[in-house]
Amino acid sequence: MAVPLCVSHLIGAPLREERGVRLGTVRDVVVRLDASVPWPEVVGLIARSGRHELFVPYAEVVRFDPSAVSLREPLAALASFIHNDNQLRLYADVLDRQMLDVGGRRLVRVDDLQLLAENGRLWLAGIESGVRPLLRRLAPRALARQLLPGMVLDWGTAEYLAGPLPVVRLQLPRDRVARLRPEQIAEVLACLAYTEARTMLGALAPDVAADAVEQLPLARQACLFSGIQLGPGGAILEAMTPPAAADLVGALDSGQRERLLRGLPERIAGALREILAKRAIASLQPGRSLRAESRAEGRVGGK
Amino acid sequence: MHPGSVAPPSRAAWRRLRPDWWLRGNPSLVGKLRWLTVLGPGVVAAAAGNDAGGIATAAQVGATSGYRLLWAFVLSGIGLIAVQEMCARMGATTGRGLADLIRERFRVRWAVLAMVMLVVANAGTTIAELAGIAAAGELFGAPRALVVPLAALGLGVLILRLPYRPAERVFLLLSSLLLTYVLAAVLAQPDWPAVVHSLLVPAPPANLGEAALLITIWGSQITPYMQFFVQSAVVDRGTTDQELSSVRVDAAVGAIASTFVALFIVIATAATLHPVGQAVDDAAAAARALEPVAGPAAATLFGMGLLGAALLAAGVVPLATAYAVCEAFGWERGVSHSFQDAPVFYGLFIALLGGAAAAVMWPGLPLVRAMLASQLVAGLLLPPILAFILLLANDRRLLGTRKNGRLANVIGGGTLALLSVLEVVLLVQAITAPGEA
Repeated sequence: MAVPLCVSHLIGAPLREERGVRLGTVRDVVVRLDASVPWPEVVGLIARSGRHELFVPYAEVVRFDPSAVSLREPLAALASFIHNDNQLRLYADVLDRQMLDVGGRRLVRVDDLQLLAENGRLWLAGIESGVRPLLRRLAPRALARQLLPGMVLDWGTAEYLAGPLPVVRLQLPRDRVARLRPEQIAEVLACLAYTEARTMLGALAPDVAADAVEQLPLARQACLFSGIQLGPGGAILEAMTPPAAADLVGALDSGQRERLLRGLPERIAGALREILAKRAIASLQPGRSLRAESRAEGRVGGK
Repeated sequence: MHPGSVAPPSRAAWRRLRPDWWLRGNPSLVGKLRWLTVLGPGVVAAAAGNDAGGIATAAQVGATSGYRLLWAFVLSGIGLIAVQEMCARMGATTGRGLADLIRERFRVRWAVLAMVMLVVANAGTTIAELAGIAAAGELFGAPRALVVPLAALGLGVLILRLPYRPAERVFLLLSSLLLTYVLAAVLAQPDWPAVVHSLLVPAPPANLGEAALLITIWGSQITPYMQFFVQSAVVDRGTTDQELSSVRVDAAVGAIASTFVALFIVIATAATLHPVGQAVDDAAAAARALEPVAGPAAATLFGMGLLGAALLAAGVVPLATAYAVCEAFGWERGVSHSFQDAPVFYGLFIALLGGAAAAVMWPGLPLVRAMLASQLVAGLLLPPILAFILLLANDRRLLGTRKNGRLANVIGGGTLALLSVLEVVLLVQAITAPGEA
């Protein structure tokens, strides 16, 4: 079976027993994120039955198709869904959000998602975006299934950016993004919403993130760092060149500046404070070149 | 200012930030309009609130109803402050545009509905702006068949291909000529006790026409596109929620300034045109209210002010619409992209501007009535847009502790309820007594 299933078709589909007794409605599809495989595997469904939201493991499903999802009999006892960190709910967390097409270095809106069955398991294979998936979601169910898929992007070449709604913390290595040049990462950071940009910064290796941050306008840097978590924020500052780090720290409001500096190793925080103090003095003495001074400052991390 | 707030950045700080942002060409709304956002979205809103449609509405209200409906400007002004603040707060807290939030929160079907309403309302507003340009042209004796295509073409090229900043400064300066209405209102010796009474005590609409006029007032004050524009402007400026207090002040100042100018246009026309029973059928009639100040130069003064206001908004409205639609559906957007990369963005912009120009060139189209009708449409479509904004601004998952407080909800909800009631009344009356409408 190589025909992909669209997630938008599954949402709202009836959930039945094998003999046809209706149990509820499909509300969401859950996948497991695993860095060792290119495609996330579908682990189950979230179904609404009366007032309860239940988790249906994929092993219980015998027939998976938009007209009805049928469950194995005898029916296993179903529990309610408990979210854990390496799971994604495709409807709640991914559909209609933006994802980064790493190859094309642009953001795409997830208009639909495609599932592919292989070796008895179901995988999240592709992201659809464009007018066709939109039309399919707007059209009545019967008509919608006739519409062909639009532009499909391999899930493996795109990067999921946690949206601000339910904050999903992803522990995936951002290898694909890290292979981009700093200017390219900066370009992406510049078009993301703050929450997403901060999540992305936090997930990158500090030196990669530092190089990208230095490419951003100072205002954007300050904006991202004014809400960043102390751990990743400190690590990125540490990896930045001292003049750039001092520019950034100097542009923050005093509260956040102190919090960040206090989180840094004493040696580095001291060096940054010294640069800032020198600049404050220099700004009182017109005519002295700040650049010459900052060139002499060396790398904060001592590398 | 409460202890958590941060002082707004100094002028020097803004100068430092600006060049960077300009040259990076990231796909943000406004792109070339960014200098406007440096003034603060509130100032933009003030300028945009007094567009051709707003001017026509205020002049017409004064001429036909005298001082009776002044209270509506006060109430809609308060509503404007609340709604602008909500959008600015959402922009600062989430770093996302309104269309983006609507798409993610309400999904495809609702997003399509919201965008269709936005495009319809904004197509009307663009027509109103070009009608304003045509009306100003006619004051100077230039035929609309010449002025309108020239203006549309010029604006298109200016926004898409040329440095737009200097031109827009000129437009803003020209539109500030409308401040002469404040002086005109004072010199016309209005009945101040009646003015104050009407400002404070709402009078119910006397007839169907006045009920429609009330919706028009709300539509001209809280224009749907402005909410999308303000939120995107806040996002573009990189304002974070730590600067929220300055964002709030900015939103309030803009709304108050916009309402202030509209009020004085009403007072001026109510004092001069209403007593003699002169309705505002064309721009020349609206200009007559300036005669106490400018004498024979009134028409020139009004024409230039109207031209500036209309040109300013005629570029912004189609641009903001194209941007919002592309944002909702995730298509490439922004003037930094090529036409091949962002066909929908450019297509929509050109279709709106060109379509509006074609509509206005229709021979014999009554310009002032077209401006008023567009504001009525904007008013009719406002409640659903307001509902989206209110629902989003109350979303705890989205805004956390920055979600709407009770006051914002009372004002926003009150505006929504009042407009909905007015629209139902209008609808019922239009059905039961169709001849009257």
